[in-house]
Amino acid sequence: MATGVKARGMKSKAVATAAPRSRSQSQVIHLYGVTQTAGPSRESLRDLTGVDGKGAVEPLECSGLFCWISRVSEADFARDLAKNIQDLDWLAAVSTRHQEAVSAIARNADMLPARFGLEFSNDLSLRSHIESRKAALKADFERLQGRQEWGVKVFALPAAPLQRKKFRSGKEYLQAKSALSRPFPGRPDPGLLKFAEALESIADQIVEGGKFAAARRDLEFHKVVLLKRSDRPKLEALIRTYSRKWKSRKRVECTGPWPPFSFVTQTESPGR
Amino acid sequence: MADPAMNEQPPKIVLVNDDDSQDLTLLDLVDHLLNTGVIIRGNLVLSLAGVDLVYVGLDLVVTSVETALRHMYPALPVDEPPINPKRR
Repeated sequence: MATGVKARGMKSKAVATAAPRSRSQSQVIHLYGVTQTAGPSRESLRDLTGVDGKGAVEPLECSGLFCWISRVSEADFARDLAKNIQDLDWLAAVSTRHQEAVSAIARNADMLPARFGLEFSNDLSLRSHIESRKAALKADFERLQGRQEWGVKVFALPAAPLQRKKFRSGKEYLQAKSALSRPFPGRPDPGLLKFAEALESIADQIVEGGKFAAARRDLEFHKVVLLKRSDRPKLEALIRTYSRKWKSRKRVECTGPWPPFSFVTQTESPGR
Repeated sequence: MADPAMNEQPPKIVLVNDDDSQDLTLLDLVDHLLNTGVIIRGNLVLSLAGVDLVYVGLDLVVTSVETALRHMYPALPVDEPPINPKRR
């Protein structure tokens, strides 16, 4: 590194040998989210590994709030992060560990989950950024108190399952293939509209589902619902009711509880 | 009389905070982690361009997995490829 090259005498030798080690050990702070209360005890998080699969998940008090962090490699999580997330194996492992930490923290505490990829160079930097956003964070805690989010999806099932069969001609094969990938008609299904109304009646707020999961062609309905923790049985009952009603025509899938990822204020979002 | 429950599709409730939640898909995870959540401006923030590239990569994977499964098991409804949190 430049500092190693410029240093003189004995010092230069020491710096030159130390530099690569310090570079490889250089760490940044990876943020999972923020809670208002101390949250789970360190003891209960003892078996939890951080996002990098090595370090611990720890709370750091910042301006009266608790930031949940891991100290991770600067190279992996800052310098090369954009490149690393293109590797789906890396992304799967890291996002799973990130989510496991988030779930453990949010199990019994209200948490504002952070966007993945927020890395801070040191404690001071994190503290000053939290201090500058403290009022907005407090307002979010108040608005989202005791609430969790659930993803609700409805999938269309094939009307008559196609049997594996031998095709007599290329045309027959292409027709069968075309039937499989046929897009769904654009007209809203009255059953789905009723389901949406029922969901609205129990939810605090509803937004559109994420665009990754929307890649599925058989997905007919995908919303993200903000729900009081105490209203969870209502959601489960609604899903059971519609699963019975739709029988083999549609399949309902519900994923949660997430901390309110989709409902936190994203005032600093650069335009997405 | 036929049992009305015969053809019923059991609701699938994937618990995110279940220690053994093998059904949680990478798509759901990435939708949450990369695209939502509070942004506290750090010194180092993942660029949106980087996230967009993940979208492209995942889209290709989903499309190819879906296509492959449909060819292999045309009678089955296709699920997203689950990720196994215990694998790594």
